[in-house]
Amino acid sequence: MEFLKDLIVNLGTWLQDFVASTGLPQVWVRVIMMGIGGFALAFVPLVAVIFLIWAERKIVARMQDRIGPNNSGPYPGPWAIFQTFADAIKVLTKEDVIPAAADRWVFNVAPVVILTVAVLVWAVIPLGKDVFGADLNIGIFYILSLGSGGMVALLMAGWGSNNKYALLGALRAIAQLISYEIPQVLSVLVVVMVAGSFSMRSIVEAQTVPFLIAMPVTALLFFVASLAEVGRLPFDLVEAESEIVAGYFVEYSGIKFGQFCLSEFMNTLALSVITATLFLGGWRGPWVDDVPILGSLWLLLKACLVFFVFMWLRGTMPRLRIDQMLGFNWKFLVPVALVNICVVALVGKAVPLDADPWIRAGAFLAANVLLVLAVLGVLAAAGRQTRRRKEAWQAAQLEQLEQEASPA
Amino acid sequence: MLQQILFIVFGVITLGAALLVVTRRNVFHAALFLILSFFGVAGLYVLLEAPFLAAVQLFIYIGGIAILIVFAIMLTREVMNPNIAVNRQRWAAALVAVILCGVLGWVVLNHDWGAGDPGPVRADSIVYLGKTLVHLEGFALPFEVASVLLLVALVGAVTIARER
Amino acid sequence: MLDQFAFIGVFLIVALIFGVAPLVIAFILRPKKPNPRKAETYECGLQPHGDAWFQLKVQYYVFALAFVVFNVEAVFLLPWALAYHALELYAVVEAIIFILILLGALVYVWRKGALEWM
Repeated sequence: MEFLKDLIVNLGTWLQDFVASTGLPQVWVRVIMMGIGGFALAFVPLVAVIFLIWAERKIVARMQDRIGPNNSGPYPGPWAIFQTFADAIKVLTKEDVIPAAADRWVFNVAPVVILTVAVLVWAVIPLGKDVFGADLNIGIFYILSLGSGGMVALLMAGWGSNNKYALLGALRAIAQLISYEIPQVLSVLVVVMVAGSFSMRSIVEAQTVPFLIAMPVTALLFFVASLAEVGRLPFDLVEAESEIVAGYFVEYSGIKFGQFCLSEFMNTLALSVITATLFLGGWRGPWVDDVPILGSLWLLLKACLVFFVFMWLRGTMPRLRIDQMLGFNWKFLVPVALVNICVVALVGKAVPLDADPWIRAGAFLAANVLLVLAVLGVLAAAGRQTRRRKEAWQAAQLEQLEQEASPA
Repeated sequence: MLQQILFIVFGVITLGAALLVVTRRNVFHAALFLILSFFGVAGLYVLLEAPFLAAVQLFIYIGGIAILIVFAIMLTREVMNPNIAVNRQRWAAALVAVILCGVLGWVVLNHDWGAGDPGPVRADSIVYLGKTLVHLEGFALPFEVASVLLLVALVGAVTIARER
Repeated sequence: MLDQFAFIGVFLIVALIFGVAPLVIAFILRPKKPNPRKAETYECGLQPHGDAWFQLKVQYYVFALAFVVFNVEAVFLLPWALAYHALELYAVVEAIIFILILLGALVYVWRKGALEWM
């Protein structure tokens, strides 16, 4: 029973003792443990993706007033989960058609890079109390830097296909990704400011009050920016099936296409877990001190909640055009993110550090509410000005028409 | 020992990729090898126990400057059909390059770089960096001047956009 | 600190294996019937027209430039954010001036119309 209470950590210790007892030198023991840990860690998103693809299809279907997959051939009901396996087998056994004019090396390396980057993110995420790959002192910044690896893979995919549409799609995707990285980084900056560390473990431990309550504007900014970073609706212009011929991976078939889709799903999952860690308190929850394995359960529930919101937005919102998307980012999100940093910095210095965490959270919340009201006020004023200008223009048009009509 | 091996590996990646950048005929391949070279430099930063700088390297150089370079490449017209004209001043250029290499090599080998053990890296190096950046006797003025520099860059962006 | 990066190094190799393994499995499992019609470039089912290049709009470059500027600004602010708890009020005001200068630059670029996509 004691073993079960902290299952993953105890399993790890048992395994380490087992490997050490075979008499290998210490260095090899550590390398083998890291290898086993790495494989186990990389399997977590893979297994989760299998369930989540099915969950997404069912939930989005229900939102669209239909049932979604409810059988897999002759087996009705919950056996529809095997549809994901059917998809995987289909994608593995399809013929690999490479266009004749494509650049072979670049074309083939791109899906490998994108999947590698999608897996690498999981190294620093704390999946429970003391369950993590590596507690880097640049934790969250490491995750942000890996986004650039994804961009490079996109570039290689678009250019390697030697196809106008693929290249155009890839460049637009990159324009979207780089634009939305700014509010993402700026909101992470606020979290780092309040928590005092980059390390994901320290951020979770600093959340006696979840940051969602203390800093809702920051959470919203990060959430919206992450939506665009992953390329989900309403920002999924880059893989829009009805637009530029499926975008940057139009020339890919079979498993390479599968790798692009898989990496997108793994990125969505990673970002929902990261959002849960940064803003909802990660593995914190009731009874975690006594039974640490419950921490992983709480994290799973929180990540599923965030993922549900991702799916909710997918089932409900229409797609934004590229100019609307970029305008929204540069004219709204980036200024709000910058002002948010200033506000949180000032409030953080106004309230002393050793005050009760709930009072600090309350002060931050009040500042955020004021910021929201200020932003709404600015938007309302801008809306009023636009409306007045439009009415004046319409009145001028009407006058002109009357002038032209009266002599006649 | 392991550090020596890793240093050699990352050094080979950096220098090898840099060599490939200048010898490739296809400009896009050159850009990709440049990205590989940046990655090698990031590895070297990790070996120097500066993980923050390694992440900054990935974040800004690969995620920003390499993308900028690729966009600039795409803005030119002949990117897909590289019919590169042979440069007639090749031999003069080679002579100048060899002379420059000789001068630089002589300077590097004859200067006393004062190499010694710089001591252990601080445990809170990033926090120390942050404190020094804004400290009045630290780099507060360059910090603000940097923001003015970035403002100048944005004004430059306006000029580029206006030309069309 | 560096032994944490040792895990990253091992994990990089694991991630590469995860990236390459599906390709290897698919290479074993799939049919291989190459055909010149299949290898044509895809353009909505029509014959491909012209070379596969086009001149990019300058807007892409402007957005990438703005991105680099704000990226560098974020990187300047990251160590400050980390040291936030140990800083005095004047340091916070310094950083706010930094942010406001860049906010002013953004508003300038916005009003001059360089942020339009067309």
